[in-house]
Amino acid sequence: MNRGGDAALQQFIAAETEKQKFQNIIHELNEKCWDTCMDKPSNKLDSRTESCLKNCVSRFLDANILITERLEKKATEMLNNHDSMSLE
Amino acid sequence: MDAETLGKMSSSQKDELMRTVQAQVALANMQELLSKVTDKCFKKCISSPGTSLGSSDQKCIAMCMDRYMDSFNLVSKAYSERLRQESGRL
Repeated sequence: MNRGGDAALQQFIAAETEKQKFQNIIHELNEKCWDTCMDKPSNKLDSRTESCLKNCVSRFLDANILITERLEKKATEMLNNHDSMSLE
Repeated sequence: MDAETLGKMSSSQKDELMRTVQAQVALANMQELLSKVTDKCFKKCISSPGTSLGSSDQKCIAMCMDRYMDSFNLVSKAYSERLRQESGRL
């Protein structure tokens, strides 16, 4: 895939791959939040379940961001003190 | 399919390939949804399997499936909304 004519195709595959990654994240996240929030299914999503689902998504992302930041900090610390390279 | 084969394709063959990829992606998503809904709604609705699927079980499964899809759409919307906010902050 290195000819000029394939650029569009390459772009298309890249875009489809991104879309698919997004879909997979939603499948996994929906499963987690469904398990956390859903009681017996009824005629419609009640407002309590709706806000639980929304909060679940937000808190999951908050947790992810927090963990990423802490891990970055730990990694930097570890790089700065070569002598004490241990995962405590 | 290797690079050489791709290079020899006409533009209509490439269009065809793109449509095939899109159809396969859509199919894979449906299969994932099917397997998740079956798993989740079996757990919610069939607590003790009887000799047949009773009408109340069927109603529960139908509702559960609709709610699972509502939930999927809501989660998808909330996630995209958050992504937009986060990328605006950078």
